[in-house]
Order: sequence, then structure tokens, then C-alpha cells
Amino acid sequence: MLTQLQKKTFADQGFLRIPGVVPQVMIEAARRKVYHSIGNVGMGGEDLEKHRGGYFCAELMADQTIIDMYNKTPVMQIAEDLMGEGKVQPVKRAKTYPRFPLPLGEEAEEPRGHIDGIGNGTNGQAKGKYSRGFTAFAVIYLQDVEGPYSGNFTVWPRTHTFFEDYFKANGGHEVLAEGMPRPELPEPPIMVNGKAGDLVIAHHAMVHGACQNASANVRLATITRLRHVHVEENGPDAYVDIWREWDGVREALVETGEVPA
Amino acid sequence: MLTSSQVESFYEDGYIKIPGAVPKEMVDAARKAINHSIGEVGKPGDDLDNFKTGAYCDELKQTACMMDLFNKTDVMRAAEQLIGMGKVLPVSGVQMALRFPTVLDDDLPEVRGHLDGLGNGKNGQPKGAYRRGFTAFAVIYLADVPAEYHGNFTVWPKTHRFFEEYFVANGSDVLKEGTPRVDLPEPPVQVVGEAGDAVIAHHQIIHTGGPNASADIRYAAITRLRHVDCAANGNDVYTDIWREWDGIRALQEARSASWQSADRQ
Repeated sequence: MLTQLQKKTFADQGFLRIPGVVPQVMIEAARRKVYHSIGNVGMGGEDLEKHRGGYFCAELMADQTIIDMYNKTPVMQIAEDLMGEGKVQPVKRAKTYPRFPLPLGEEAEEPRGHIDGIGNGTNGQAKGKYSRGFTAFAVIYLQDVEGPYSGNFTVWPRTHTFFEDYFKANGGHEVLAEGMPRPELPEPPIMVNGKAGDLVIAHHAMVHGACQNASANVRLATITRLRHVHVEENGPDAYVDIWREWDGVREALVETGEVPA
Repeated sequence: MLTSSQVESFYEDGYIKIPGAVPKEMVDAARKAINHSIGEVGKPGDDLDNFKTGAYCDELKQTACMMDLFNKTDVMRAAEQLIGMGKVLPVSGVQMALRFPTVLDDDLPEVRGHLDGLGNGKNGQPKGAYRRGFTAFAVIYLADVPAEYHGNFTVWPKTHRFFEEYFVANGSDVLKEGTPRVDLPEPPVQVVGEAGDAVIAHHQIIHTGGPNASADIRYAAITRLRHVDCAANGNDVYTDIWREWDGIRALQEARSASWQSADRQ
């Protein structure tokens, strides 16, 4: 389904946006449940033992309507094109993140990114701990995201390869025990625009975030973390071997002679 | 600014839609404030003394951002054209009327309307009490409402005049029993519109917020416009429905004069 060019772009940039992957009928069914939840259920999911505050749509994490957007659409085919056929675990949970607008008159700040899985004592993981628990982000926009500072999923291109080199040069991924490294990044961030039903897939080692929302609308996106079937055994080694779980990308790079067979 | 046919339509049906009454910039600012409130303020506590449960956006009711939607736009100009120049009290409070999607299966519920101001023991007024506290609804859509069953402001046309006759015949005290459940002259109209459109409706029209089977929140700002003599007129206008409507009475008088002139010829 993905072209060789798309795979190469993913290898180079660390992310891809693929328009119209999820049919509108599924998007609208999901959005209806999400807005119903925001209005009638409210926040849930608070877990004091894991230092997690309440969040919206907690009861929809494993809802079939939400999960089907991944497992019963071309999202999974795209993921397999990149990671290898039969190598992507089915999605069991996905979190819908409403990002609400700033108050009137407040200017949006510059986006700030991070790598996932680094404990800070308030995110469910102890400070000094880190874990590489997934292979790729898969973000589905449930509503159009038009223009910067609209709560866009935001990525810093090429940071996946940048940090592979960084870890190798700085004694390994263990530097993550000190928290998120803050070297100068290769490129400025991209606040990804998209239409309802678009998919953004990004490498786990990408620096990413969600920019502030200065628009009038709620930014609605559902995000899951796709896992390679060997994600557990590969563990943090993939920080310094970033294509180990990406058969499709490796094949594309071999084909073009960018890496040896 | 309203055409004579719009004024005529208001007389006949009891409501009119005014497309593009509020500039986009003001609509966007209001929707932004509402969406911020939903996410970051949430629902405040219940007010059990007044039988009111917590609602979103309570803190926005008297902000300039919301009141200006009415006081500084064509909505007030249209209201004055209908009610009378200098006869409409400035808006001092706005209800942020959000209708979240409620219909999660394929069965659409029956749409059922009511008259405002009738106590039921759960709406801040005791059962059996009734009060005509305003002259007109003014509703502003803050996002598109493109089709029926999108939480539309819903009206039963001609019920303002229908109930005037009904109350003349039966007395307005029948309202102590709640909204009379009688056959109405016409089926309901679920008003569709775009962000920035306004609807003005007579206080005595049967209305409701329709069910929302869409995927989106229905955003509207609603206020109840009051004639300067609203308190003094009180419940009398249930049976004299144009007392607070100079613009409509002027239309009727002009029409009557025209007929008399035609008769003479």
C-alpha cells in the first residue's frame, strides 16, 4: 500500500502523514462517542498509585469503535508495510486526547517535545527509569486540524536517527536515566496539519509533542502506540538499532542501496 | 434591517432566522472561550437551593465576549425593529447552550416542546407556579447546524398565536398544570443554520433543543430578551401577545390602513 518513496520518506524524516486512511463513517462514530463522553461522562481514569490524573474519554480506551479505527482499516496494513507482515500486534487500547483551546487573549508558546518512556516521577514511571515499550505512534485525527498552533501533533524531523547517533556517541541509551536530553535538534518542529481520518505514523524515537491550541476548536485525536511482536525482547536495544523492528523500511533502504543487504 | 416580509413572517410563524447576524470573529472568540471552559474549567457544583445541576460555562454567562454577541451586533438591531427602538433591555446574561451528542444508536427520539417559565419543582420554580419573564428568545449558533437532529433549536410555528387564543378561551392559569398538551397547528421545525446565524422567537412559542444524533457538539448562545415594561406587563401578555412588539403592531396597523384604503377605492 505504501510506495517505496513513502517508506524512504519515513526512514528519512521519521514520520508520515497518510490522508484519508480511516473512513468518515468510522470517524464520525468515534467523534460522536468522544463528544458524548466529554459532555456526559467527564474525566475518569485517575490512578493515584501511578501518579496519573483524570483525563477525558478514559472509558473509551478499549471501546470497539475506537479500536476498530486501527484494526479494521488500512492503518494496520500501513503499519505492516513499514514494520513487516504479521509483525504488528493488534491494537487493544487507544487513547483519545482532546486538546482544548487556550483562554482568550493568551498567546501560544513555542512547542516543546520529548521522547516517550522517560520517567520523571509524575508520569507513572519513577525518575531515573526509562522504558522503550513500543515501536511507533499511530495518530488519527478525528477532526480537521488546520493551521499551526491548533493542538497539532508535532514532530521534530530526523530526531530518530539523530538520537540513535547521540546515544551511540554518549555511552548508550543509559543517558536517558538523566531525563530527556536537550541537545540542539537537527530541524525545527513541524505542527502536522490534517483532515479528519488522516493518519500520522511516527517512529518511537522521534521527539514529539502536541503544540498548544490557540484555535477556537477542540483538537480531537486518537493515539495508540503500535508494538512489534518482539518489542519486549528487543527492549531498549532498539534505541541504538532503530530499524530492528522495521522490516519494510529496511527492505526499502536495501533496495535503494542506502544500507547493505 | 429586517425586510417587511421577515417581519410579516415573524408575525405569522412566531420566529425568524437572521443569517450572518454575528461576525465570524466574534463567533470564533465565543466558541474558543466555551471550548476552553469545557476542558479546563468543567462543570461547577450543583445549586440545590435553586434545583439546578452544574452546567458547563457558568462562568462565561456575564462576560463581555458573550453579551456582545447580542448587544453589539445586528441581533439587537433586529430585536429593536420588532420590539421597538429603545424598548429592549440590554442583555446582561447569556446561557451557553451546549448539546452534546446524545443519540448513540439508530433510534431517534420524538421531539417534544414546551413553553418557558412553568415550574415543575426541578427547574428553580415550584410546581404549579408560572411566570412570563421575557419577551423573546434570541439564539445564536456558534457552529454550523447543517441538518435536523443536530441539536437544533426547534420551534412549533404559529403556536404563539394558537396559545393566545387558547388562553383567552381557557385562562392562563391552565399553565399551573404545565405546558398544555393539545394538537398544535403545525409540526416542529428544527432550525438549521450556520455559525453566526441568529434566531429570534416569540416568548409564547413552543420550542425545545432537539436531540443531537450528529458527531459534533451543538454550540449556541441563548438569551431571553426583555421589553423595558416586561415586569409591569407580567402575565397579561399571555393573552395580548403583541403588547411588547411595536414593530409588529406597526405592521398590523399599516396593513389595516391599506385594507381600509383599498375598501374605499
